[in-house]
Amino acid sequence: MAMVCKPLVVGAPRSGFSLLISVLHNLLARRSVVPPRSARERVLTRTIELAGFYMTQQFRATFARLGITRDLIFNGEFHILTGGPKWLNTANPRLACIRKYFGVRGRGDFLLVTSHPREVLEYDAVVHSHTAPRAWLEEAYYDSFQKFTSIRNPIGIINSACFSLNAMASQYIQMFLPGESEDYIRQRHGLYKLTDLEFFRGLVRFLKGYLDEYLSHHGRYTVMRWEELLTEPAKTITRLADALQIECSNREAHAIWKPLDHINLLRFHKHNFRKGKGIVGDWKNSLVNEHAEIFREYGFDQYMDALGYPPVPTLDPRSYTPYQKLVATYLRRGEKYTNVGDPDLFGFAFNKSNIDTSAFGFKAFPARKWTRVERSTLTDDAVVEAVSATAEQCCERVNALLSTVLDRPPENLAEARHCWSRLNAEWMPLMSELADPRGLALCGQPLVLDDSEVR
Amino acid sequence: MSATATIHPRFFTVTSPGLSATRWLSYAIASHPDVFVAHGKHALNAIHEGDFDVEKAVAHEESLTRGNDLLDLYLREPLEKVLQLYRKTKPEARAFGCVHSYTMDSLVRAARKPYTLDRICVWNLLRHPVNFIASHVSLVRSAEQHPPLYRQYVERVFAQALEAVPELFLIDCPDYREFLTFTVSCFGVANLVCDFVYPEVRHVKMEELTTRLDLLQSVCEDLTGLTYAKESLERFVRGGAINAHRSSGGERDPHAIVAGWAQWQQDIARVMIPEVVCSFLEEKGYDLSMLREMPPPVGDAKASLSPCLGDCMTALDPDHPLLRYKTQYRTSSLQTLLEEQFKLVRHQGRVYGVPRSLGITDFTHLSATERRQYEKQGRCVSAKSLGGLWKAIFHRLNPRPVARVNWRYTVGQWFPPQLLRFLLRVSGRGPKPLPPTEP
Repeated sequence: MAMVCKPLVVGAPRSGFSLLISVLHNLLARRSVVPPRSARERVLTRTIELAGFYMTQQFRATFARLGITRDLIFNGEFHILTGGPKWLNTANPRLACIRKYFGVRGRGDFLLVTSHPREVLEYDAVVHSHTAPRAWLEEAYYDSFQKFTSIRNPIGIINSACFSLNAMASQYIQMFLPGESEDYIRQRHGLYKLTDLEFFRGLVRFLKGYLDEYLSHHGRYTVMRWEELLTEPAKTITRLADALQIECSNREAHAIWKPLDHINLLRFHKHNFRKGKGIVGDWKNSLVNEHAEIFREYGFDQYMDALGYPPVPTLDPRSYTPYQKLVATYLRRGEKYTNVGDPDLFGFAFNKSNIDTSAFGFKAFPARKWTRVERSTLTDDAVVEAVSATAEQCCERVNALLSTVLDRPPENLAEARHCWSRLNAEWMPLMSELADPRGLALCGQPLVLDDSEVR
Repeated sequence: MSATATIHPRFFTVTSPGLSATRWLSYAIASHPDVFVAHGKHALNAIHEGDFDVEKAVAHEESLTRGNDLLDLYLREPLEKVLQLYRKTKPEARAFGCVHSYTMDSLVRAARKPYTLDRICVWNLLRHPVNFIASHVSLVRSAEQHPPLYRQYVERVFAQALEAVPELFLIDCPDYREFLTFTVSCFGVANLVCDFVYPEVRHVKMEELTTRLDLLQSVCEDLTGLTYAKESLERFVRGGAINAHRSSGGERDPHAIVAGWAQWQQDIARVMIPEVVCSFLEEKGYDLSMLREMPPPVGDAKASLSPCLGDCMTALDPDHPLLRYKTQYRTSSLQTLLEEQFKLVRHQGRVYGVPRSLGITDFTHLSATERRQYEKQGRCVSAKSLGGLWKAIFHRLNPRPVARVNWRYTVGQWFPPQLLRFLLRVSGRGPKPLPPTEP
């Protein structure tokens, strides 16, 4: 088994981020060069899995106590401890922050940020984050990581964001609108996002902030250009493999690309990929000149140049598609498109993670030791407070258990077994709090430690 | 096509999607005793057995009840057979043709041989799109009283419009019936794009044809190759059109018509009427400024409270069959056509249809290899004659599905059964004579 650097991916949302992670994952898996798990990592991984289950059940129980069961929107992507957008805590980079989305049908939604030791991010073979490209470079802990980034034409990123559905919206569609046309939902939400120029500016400002930080460290990341991956997948994948010091033939690169090509890559978030899309330059079919003007207003011509894309173009209104004509009509009238359909879905689908939210008046709650609630629209603060309290208590317990492993990491097999038995003894009473018996069953499963695999 | 010599029998057609004084023009052309004219999908002898003055009173109703009598004939039979039927209907005539039985696209579709298109004299009749829409809206409303015709609009035309422009589902729909009517009418204008892809078609504006005697005379003479007396045509210009689909008090000024449209109607018109259609009609001298810069709409408040079409249809019937067009990831044929406006280039005895987007105006600087390369890449089409070019463009825009290779079927097509039996017999592989049943 070969040794390779651990990969770390930092990229803006909708820039081909998930694709890059999947390609790297497949490169590692296909060549059997997944970094071997140390005894510490094996115990840590098991702890993270149990923690994810424990916290999910605790969240569900809290909502249930407040009478929210069938109306709870909590996508499976967030059930894992590390599931959700993540970043390093700026005040204490030894901690990683993870954002989870909660929605309640008919009542709104809120985002819960939990903090855990940053080592939990290595639960994923490819550590990844949407934010702070500088912070990852500055932290000595990540010096040994091979750093990658996904780049896409910024106009395409914003266009994609206008038609994207987040995991919470996806969950709502799966639960309550299973027969509805996905494309129709995207088109009508997109029409709102493109006709509310303040919203559009919010998306542009967020991306501008990211690019400002990224471009000052441009050369320190191995770049995967989304457009190149789509048009020349094998060449791009072999280049990424070179960066990881993995041998990958043209044929193997094709084999890696085939199962990733224009499909949804996430398990529970079934709407991450927009069917029929993933077309280079498709933004020319939906954005109009008013949007191009906003890009110029925020200095995107410079970013385009720095990233190797042509400047923001002026489109010919006579070549507008029917969709663009509709957008342009509303903009000319100075109206926002408001026929967005199901108000719950519209609320859940609001881009809360990749937008500058300062102009939207969301409610934030005071930060606690391990958790913080932000961007809430939930009508009932008591629900938010209760979930926040549960999250805080869970994080306290889980982080204490994680520290047990991290502070005195097991050095060998015997120490690992001993460490796990101590942890397991602490997990048992926690799992017995849960109504779901699977928690105890999980604790009962033995931790497989193979001598040959332990470093 | 562009007939200069007078050869008889002569064939002609005036292509039009209708609502362009076509009944009136049919009577004007038929005023010559040596001409046979069929109109629309009416019975073949409808014009010759009709009376212009009487029809001015009843034609509107008749067009609704009898207007599709021969729909199947024109849809299914080749142009060659239809022309033969014309000859049989009035054998003594010297010129045979039709008005509004075909659009340009359906004419090319119907012709089996390019030669037929080369031989037929074609004029295409244009009308201001806003007036066309206004007339069409009245026609569809009237059709509500005639279920078979209305069903066509609801089940076929509206479905086609939704398939071509799924953005319609996003537009406010204060009244489903009105929405359907207006959409179907705008779709008539959108579909002009299918007619305008064919180069070198001669167009005439209805507004000029119905008011200028000299123009009417020259068009009639060009179509039939016969001489028309001005005096015989004058009564038509004086009498005016027959099918007044709109009430006599209806607004005629396109600016005023558009000013009266509600916001959702303006949205439909904007989304549906392709730029290429507008540009083409402007090139022909129409003022479309009212479509380019629509005035502030009426009825805003009502529209803003309305559901969009998608929601409106779902409320009517969650399993509405037309809702399936909400999910659409492919490019519609209409969108393909928008990108394919052909320009004619003549070179070394051949005619080439070159998409305008390529910007090629002559082939003199291209070598034969480069020309062949262009054709091979599907970037242009060529033929020996204009009729051939039209057919080539038609096939380019409507690619035939690839048939599965079926040996038996292929042989059956190549060899008619009698010829096949003969070939098998002479090659000694024919059926053996039955052995005698009696020893």
